[in-house]
Order: sequence, then structure tokens, then C-alpha cells
Amino acid sequence: MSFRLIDLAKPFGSILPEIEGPYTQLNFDEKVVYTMASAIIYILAQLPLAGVSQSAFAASADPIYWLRPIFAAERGTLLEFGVFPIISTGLILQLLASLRLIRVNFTVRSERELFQNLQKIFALFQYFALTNLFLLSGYFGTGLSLVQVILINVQIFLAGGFFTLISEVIDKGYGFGSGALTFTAVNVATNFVGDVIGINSIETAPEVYEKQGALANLISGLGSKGIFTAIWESFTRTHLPNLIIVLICIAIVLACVYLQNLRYDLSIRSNKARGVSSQYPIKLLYTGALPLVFSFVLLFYINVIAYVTVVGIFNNDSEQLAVKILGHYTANGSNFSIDNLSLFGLFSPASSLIGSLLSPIRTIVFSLFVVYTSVKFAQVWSVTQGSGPRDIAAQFKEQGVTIYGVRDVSIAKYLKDQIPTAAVTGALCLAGLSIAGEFLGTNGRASGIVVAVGVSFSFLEIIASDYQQSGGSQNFGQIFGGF
Amino acid sequence: MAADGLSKLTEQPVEFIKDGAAFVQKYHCYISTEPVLTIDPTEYLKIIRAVGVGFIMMGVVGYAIKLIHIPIRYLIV
Repeated sequence: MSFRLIDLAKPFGSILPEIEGPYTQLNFDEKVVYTMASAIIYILAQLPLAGVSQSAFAASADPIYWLRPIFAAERGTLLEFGVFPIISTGLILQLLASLRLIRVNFTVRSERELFQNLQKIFALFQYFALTNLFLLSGYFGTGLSLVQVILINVQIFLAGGFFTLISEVIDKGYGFGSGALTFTAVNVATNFVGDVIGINSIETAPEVYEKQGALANLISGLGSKGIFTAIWESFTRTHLPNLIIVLICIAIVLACVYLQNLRYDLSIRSNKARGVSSQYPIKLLYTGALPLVFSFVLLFYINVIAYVTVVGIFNNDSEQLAVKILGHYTANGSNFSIDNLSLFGLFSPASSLIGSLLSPIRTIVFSLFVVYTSVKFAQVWSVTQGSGPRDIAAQFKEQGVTIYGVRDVSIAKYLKDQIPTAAVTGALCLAGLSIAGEFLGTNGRASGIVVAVGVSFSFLEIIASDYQQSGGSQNFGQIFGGF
Repeated sequence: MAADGLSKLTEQPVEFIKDGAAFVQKYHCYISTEPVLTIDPTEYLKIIRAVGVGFIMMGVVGYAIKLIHIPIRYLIV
């Protein structure tokens, strides 16, 4: 018998905690409470890391700042890496399983459990590995004592493990949709509100404080700086979100909802009852925002490798040949980015519109990378996962439904043509939207918003269908039904 | 060899755009009664409102919780 990857999880089976699924179907109100509570815990857990001196943090800069929104990662907190390990293991292992690179028989319960444990182990391993790679590269400051190193490791690892379990709670049917993506959505929404009306002050230069929110900044500036300076500054400041970024984000929300709404209606009719016909919608965004998330997972890995090799191994020494080829990090406020033309520099967006225009090669390579990986992912995912073409065809057959103008026998083939194309076109549109946002210098906010809107939209679909089923008899259902 | 790879690289996007365009057009052969890529403007506005309200609600609650963090940070650090 050959070695299988899921067997790796066998020895850990007894020590890994597992969430029991609900015995009965939870009602709508309970689900709302579970989802909201998990999200609130996630936001509450963004406490500063103990054991890291704040001055060391202020001195080091953040190499993954533009990847943070999409993975709900907050710098300098327990959630330093956010839900990245959870999302990346979930996507990659499922992709490998569906490509049959990992052999799992999902019809057998014990194998399903092993696969689930494997996911958990990989997620925890990634929290551990990322923490230590960043420690070695001096991200948490240099010359840390052993106690500090252990403290940082324990904190990030435990927080990561805790949220792996919390997201499993939501995944297993206590909440709506996917747990990790829920955290992303809530975090993106929180930061967006903070970027607009955030009244907390941030020290931008020694002894200079500015409001975090663009609108709050404008209003406080109107009183102290005079109208024209205040308006000019609120549109052009670079170190904190300005009004232009806010407007771009709003435009992206509108465009994203528009894309989410697009669907192709297949006219179907019943074989049994004559004259009964209806529509079967195929959503353009058949795979949701997952293709974009997948692209960003790859970008995250590339950028971590870049940071570890350039800063960790070559000490970011611009004299060395390797650094010249791979890329030299320059600090820009608290952001650490590769701005010269180099290998790793190609895999990150420029931090402003001017930057994107000045480095066209970088912009083009970055865009092509995102588009290509998104599209490939959508192609594979739409065929292999969940309700693929074959399942829908089987479902049609069972219900005695056919598509107008398509013979019964060729329905599966017809859907196999249509669904991947819809998924791929949808993924292309979303990737384009996110790239456009990055090109304009939103530093990852655009992609975060694309994913967050996707998640909110799936909430809306679930809420709408639950509302119809329960007839609005439940408390939260009534509140949401009002919108 | 290299040229082969390059032509493959350029072929794929072109083919892909063709597919996408064909996808939009093809439906007119199958169903001729109505436009296929559908979106209902009133429904769109309703959904925009629902998603917007939900998004802002999530954000305001989240931001309120984050504000609590500021005094906590002072206490801890």
C-alpha cells in the first residue's frame, strides 16, 4: 500500500479538538447569533502582542501590508497573520484533493475526518512557520530574548488555533457560509468604516496627530486649517486613507454588487407537465470571490518568501548582487515594499497611481499573474467542487426537467460547456476589478472589499431564502426582512 | 521551443475572450425570447441597499468594538 498524505493526520486524531456538528438544523435566529458572536470575538481578539516592545515594532516595517485586508490580518496583534493559514490550507488541500493529487475517498466517514484533521494540522503548522520565519527575519525586532520568542510563538499559535476552531463552528452549520471568509468580511467592513469616519487619532509624524477616517479628518481640518487646505489635504494625504480611496472603494462595492447580480437564465421546462417552464439561473460569479482569494494566497506565499530571502538571508543589503536581482525593500512609513524593478518586486502592486504608471512592467506582470491564477482556479474549481455540471444534470434528470433546445442526453455536456465559461468569465471580471483598485493605489483594500461584498452577498442569499421559508416569523428575520 | 511557448501564451487569452463572447452570443440560438444576461434595475437597487446597510452595520459595530481597544492598549502597554 502506498503512502497517502492524509495518513499523516492519523497520529494526531486523538489530540486534535473537533467541533461536533449540530444535532438538529439550527433555526435562523440561532445562526445569526452564532455568526455575530464569532465575528465580535474576532474583532475583540485584535489585542497587541505581549513581549514585543512597541519601539521595535515602530522601527521595523510591514512587508505584507497590502495583503492584510483580504486575510483579516492586523499588524502587531494576536492576529498578525489573520485567517491566512486557515483559508490557504482549505483552498489548497481541497484543490489538490479534487485534482486527485491527494487521494481521499470522501464517501467514507473516517477518511473525511482524516482530511479534516490534516487541514487543521496544516493550518496550525503555517501559523507556527510564519511566526518563526518573521521572527528570524527580524520583523518583531532584533535581539529578542528566548522568553520573548517563546511568548510571541505561543500567543500567535494559540490565537490561530482558537480561530481555526471558531471558523469550524461556523463551517459546520452553526453559522452562515464560510467561517474564515466571514471574519474577512467583518474586518474589511470595520476597517472601511474606520477609514471613513474613524475618530481615533494616529501619530503620523512626531507630535503630529491626524484622524484615521478621511471624513473625520476633513471635518476636524475645516475647523483648524481653513477650508481649502482642509479639503485639499483630505483628498491628497498619502500616509492615511484619503477621500479618493474612500470613493474608489464605494465604486468597487457598486461594481461588485452589479457583477454579483449578473446571471444567465436557462429556460427549463418539465417533461411531465406540459407548458410548465421556468428559469434556472447560472450566476456569472459561479465560484464567488474564491478565485481572487486563491490568487492572493499565492501572492502571500511569494511575498513571504521574498521577505525571508531578502531581509532574513541577505539582510536587505543593496550592495549585494542577489538583492539587486531579487529586490530591495524600502520603508515608506510603516510599509515595506520593493519598488525597484526586480524579480520579487513584480509580484506586488505599486502603492499609488503614480507608482503604477511609473513602473508599467510591474503593473502588467502583477495584473497578468492575478488574472491567470484566478481564471485557472475558477476553471478547475467550477468543474470539481460542490454542484458541478454533472450534479446539476443528475438533478435535472431526477426532477424530469430539460433545457429548451437541448436534448436530454446532452444536458450534462451542455452544462459542462456553460458553467466553467461562466465561472471563468466571472473570475476574470472580479480579478479585473481588484487589479483596477490596486492600480489606483488602494493597497489591498480593493481586493478586500471585493471578497467582503461577495461574502455579504452570499449572506443576503441565505437570509432571503431562510426568510421565505420561515415566513419572517423569527426575530432577526423580521429585522433583516425590513431591508 | 521558446517561440512555441510564447505563442501558446498569447493564444490562450485570445481563445478565452472568444469563448466568453461566444458564451454571451450562443444563448440567442437556444432561446430567442428574451435577453440572456439579465439584471433587474429595481432589484439591483434593492440589493445595493441591503448589501450596503449590512456592510455599514457590520462595520459600525466592528469599529465600536475597536474603539474599546484604545484604552485597553494603554492599560496593557
